Amino acid sequence: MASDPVFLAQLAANGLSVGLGYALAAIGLALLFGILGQVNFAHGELYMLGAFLLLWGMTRLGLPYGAAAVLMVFVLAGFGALLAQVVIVPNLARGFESVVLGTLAVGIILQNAVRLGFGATPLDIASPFEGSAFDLGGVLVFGQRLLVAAVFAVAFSALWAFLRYTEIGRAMRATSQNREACVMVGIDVNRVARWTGALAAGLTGLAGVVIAPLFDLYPNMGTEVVIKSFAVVIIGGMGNVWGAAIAGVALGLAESYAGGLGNAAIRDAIGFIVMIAMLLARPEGLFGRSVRV
Amino acid sequence: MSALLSVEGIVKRYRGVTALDGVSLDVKPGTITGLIGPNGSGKSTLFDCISGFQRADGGRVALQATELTALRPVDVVRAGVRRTFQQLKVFPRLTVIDNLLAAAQSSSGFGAFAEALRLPKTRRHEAQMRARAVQVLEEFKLSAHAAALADALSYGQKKLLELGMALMTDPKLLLLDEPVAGVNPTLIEDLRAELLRMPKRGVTLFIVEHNLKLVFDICDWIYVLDRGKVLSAGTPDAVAKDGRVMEAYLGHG
Amino acid sequence: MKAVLWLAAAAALVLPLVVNSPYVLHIAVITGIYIVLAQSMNLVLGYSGLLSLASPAFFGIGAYIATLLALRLGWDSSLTLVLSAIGGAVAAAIVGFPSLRVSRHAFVIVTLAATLLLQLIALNWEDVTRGSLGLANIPAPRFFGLQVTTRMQWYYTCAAAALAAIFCTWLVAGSRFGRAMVAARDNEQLALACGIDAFRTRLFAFCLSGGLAAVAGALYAHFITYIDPGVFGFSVSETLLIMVIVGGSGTLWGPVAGAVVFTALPEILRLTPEIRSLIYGAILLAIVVWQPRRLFA
Repeated sequence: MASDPVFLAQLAANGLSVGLGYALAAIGLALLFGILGQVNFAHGELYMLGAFLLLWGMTRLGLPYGAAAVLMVFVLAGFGALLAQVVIVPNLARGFESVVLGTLAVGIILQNAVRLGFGATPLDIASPFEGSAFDLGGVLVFGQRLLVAAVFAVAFSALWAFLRYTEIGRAMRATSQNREACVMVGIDVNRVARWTGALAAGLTGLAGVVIAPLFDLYPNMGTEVVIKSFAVVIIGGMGNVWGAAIAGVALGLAESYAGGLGNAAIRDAIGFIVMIAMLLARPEGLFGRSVRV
Repeated sequence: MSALLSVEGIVKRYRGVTALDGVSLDVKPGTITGLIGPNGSGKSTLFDCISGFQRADGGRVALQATELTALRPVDVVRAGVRRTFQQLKVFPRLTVIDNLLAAAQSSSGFGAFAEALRLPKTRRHEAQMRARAVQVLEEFKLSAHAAALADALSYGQKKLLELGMALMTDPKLLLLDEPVAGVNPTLIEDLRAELLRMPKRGVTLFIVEHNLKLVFDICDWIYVLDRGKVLSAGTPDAVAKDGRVMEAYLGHG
Repeated sequence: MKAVLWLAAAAALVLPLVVNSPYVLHIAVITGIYIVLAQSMNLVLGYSGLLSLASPAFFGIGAYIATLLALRLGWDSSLTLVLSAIGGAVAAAIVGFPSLRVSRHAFVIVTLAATLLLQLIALNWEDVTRGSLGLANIPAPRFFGLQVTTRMQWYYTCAAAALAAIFCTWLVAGSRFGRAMVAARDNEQLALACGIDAFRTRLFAFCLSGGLAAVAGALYAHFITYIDPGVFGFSVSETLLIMVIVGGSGTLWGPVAGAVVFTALPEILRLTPEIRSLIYGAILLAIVVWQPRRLFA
């Protein structure tokens, strides 16, 4: 069975779709590291918050999936700007561990606030794409997975254009190269931080709203996301957005094959092990640091 | 007289940019030797390569018979070479006397367990170092501030403390990176007097400094670095007469 | 200050003679275990200025080593506690040796990854750990044949452990070596120029910290009598960070006070775990944003 071409193709399809999800979930983390040199430990909780806000919008406000999803991405972006202003801006000149601790605190607050609000029992989001599946020559592809892939493509292109063609995008790229020089030429680094926070959180929320319907929702679902995202960002070269995208897909594929041909424990451990090895052997990752678009 | 420090053909490259392009020079014992050159000529990089903070891509460094090439900073210090930095550095949250004692830590070479258990040999060493620290405090007129946090000192006092720390282990060679940068004229006089006393203390000085007046005044020998190469070398008089030096400063300084 | 300390010590000494509420003594024992953990974090975060998220990893290693040796082999606790400490220290060396060389970023992330990886191993190595079922009926600890069973015996055992951890911290941090730790924390470049081997100094502090956390884990396992992979849980880190930072990182008694206050307070206020974590998160956030004392170089 292991050599059955349809089975292997199915593993590839699964890996690719999961990997695009990893890539989408990790971009926000890569952006924040690439531009501001900060590690966001509330990253997983932003993803979790996006998913729970989506659920809330659909069940309490009665919004359809699409509308709720778009609304929550903007809410998350606003929250990201606030997070940047409160936690990152005052700590830009202190050791990076300060931001780690601050975002860790925000993560703890979010996790427990959601636990108080929604309880700890796993919940489920009903997405209109969920039921649909396509059969491509024996290989099954699910509608929600296709949505994730499509959203990834759109989000990534939009991010590229944003960083390339807008004034603030250029300021963000400049900050990633040399923060001190930016201060000297009059770039408002705090504004760059807020925009980066908004963009990063918006993208992470986007990942949350499109990926969450595939899984159960529970308050500490972010832990798994954050560690996968760390792995992707580190393998891709801390802060390199392209690298993160490629690393996300690669990790998805590797896990899919490891799970399909090996066992679940190997699948779960593979990200950690590659990440640790990468950090120690090539701290700058496979693709080198700094945001490239 | 043979050289105390000999640097032979040091090369250092960063991503295709050659910062040091085969630098060779000697520092003779008991002298004050200056290293000058326009910004970006590689002076601090050379200090980094000598003191082990950066690894050279080629060439060798030796302190008399001791090979320093590729040693870690800690081992360079143990070999008898101390350095200071372009930016003033003291330990702000340690007291003045603890700064001096911390600067003497390397001379012990005791393990962590010996230190933690306060074995008699470590206590003896600590007592010796404390006596030495008291003496240094007196020399630099800092005795009154011994128990103050280093952070509370004035800029000038911190500069003196930094020098005192460098002397704690009686180094054979002291590399000073811009010892009078950002210092007011009165204090420059004080520091100048301290620097001139160094050879009498048995400490050879190798100085990077932008204050050329001071360099030409106190140095016995001067090297001029330009674009990673030794452009000129000689006594202050000889270097002052060398037309290439002024050209280097004006041309692309 | 001295008077407060002596008073607190006297109160701690007679507490189980005056109070015999099992509930209060239970909290007191947990406090003792937290004091050991707080000093373990203090050595790294406070004196060395490094953020480690691996406390639960060493805690868990200690818990599993002591449990397995007691359950499977019936060894005396005087031996298993030492072996737990060694296990924690060796694990810290394995985590710290490569990561401390690379960068402070790498250190933070590797410590977190190591913790999660160990939890994964504990979950999947079912032959030894029984996976998520956990290990139950852990026997009471025996020291040279004498069993620790009553709450009062437990109290004095953990008080002794806490005292030992404080003494250990005092020995290291109060010595010349401690001065080197602080120097390397405050200005690594200058420390190197002074001949202080920052890497070795930090590695030693981290190993010692790992050993202390493992002893705490071993005591915890014997006291609660049941462990599962949840002992590697991340929430221990959060509580410890609060205890050490609010109490005063880089001081000898601050983290002790932090451990006492932040174990007792949630109990006195009868907080649910969610509310407690919310408050801890808010306190941590406020301190990091405000930073009355600089936490990191």
